[in-house]
Amino acid sequence: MVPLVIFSRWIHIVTACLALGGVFFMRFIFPAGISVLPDDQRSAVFLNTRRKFKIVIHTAILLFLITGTFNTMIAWGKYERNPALMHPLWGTHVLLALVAFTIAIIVLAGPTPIQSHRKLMAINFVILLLTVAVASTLKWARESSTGQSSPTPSQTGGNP
Amino acid sequence: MNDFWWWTIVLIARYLHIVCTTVLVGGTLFYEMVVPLAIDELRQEQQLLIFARARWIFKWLVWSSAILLIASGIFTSYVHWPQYSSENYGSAAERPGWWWAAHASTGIMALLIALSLTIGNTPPARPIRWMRLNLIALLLVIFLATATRQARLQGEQQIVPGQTHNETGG
Repeated sequence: MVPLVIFSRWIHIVTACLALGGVFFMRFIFPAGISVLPDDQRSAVFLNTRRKFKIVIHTAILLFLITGTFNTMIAWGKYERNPALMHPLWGTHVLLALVAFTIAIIVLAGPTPIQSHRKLMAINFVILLLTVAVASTLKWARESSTGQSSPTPSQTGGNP
Repeated sequence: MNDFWWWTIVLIARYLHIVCTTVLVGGTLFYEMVVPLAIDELRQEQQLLIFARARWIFKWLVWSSAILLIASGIFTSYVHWPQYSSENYGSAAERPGWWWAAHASTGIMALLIALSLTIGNTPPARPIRWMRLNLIALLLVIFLATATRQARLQGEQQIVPGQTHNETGG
């Protein structure tokens, strides 16, 4: 079971890298990179990249759903130890992720992007950052609930 | 320092470590795998122009990510050092310290490759091949980080079954 747990978590993190890094690159770096091209070519290159990016994002959503469900099943017992803290954190993480998926699907739907695609993509980047922040907090809360977080300086007299 | 601020800094360090990793790995993957396919139909000089411009913008991202990754990595290692340096584990595979060493050394190697690819005005020979190699190294680094965490959590459960970590003082 342990290798499967590690594998699932690894896939979840790598998928997060794909989604977050891809959104950042697609929204902020790539448009600046193709700004040197004439308008018609720039548009064609952007649409071509968008098609490839769509495949990446749709695959990422599928992997997120599979590994996220599995990770939740594995960790659910720990969430029950402090439901007042961990259920809202888990719920917020899932809710933010679902909002990000929805925005990604809307922005990448159809052969050409919608008018507000740049703004929505930037909003999605912020939502993804928040999703990671909530996931990090949830992980800390989970480890704290089982006594597996490292002691604080006040508990060890200044040493970790 | 009181516990609230301590844990706030621990959380921020972890958050920065993950965000920098996602931006670095995702950016490298996009730069190396998606962009070449997307600009395949352009003339070669136009392709090089796009790559050069994207590389110039990608450069500051790599450098800032590398600095933040090293800083947050050192801090997080300091936080978990009692577990990493503990001798109370069975086999070598169960020792989180070994996994941590593998994670840190592979991570530093991957960062050095990423930084060397962005140094100077022109990319090194065979940049795509180097980026591909670096991408594999970065994926390995993430795997080793996951394994380190698993070994750390599992080790603590084995050392003090039924007893919390804080009760044992680390």
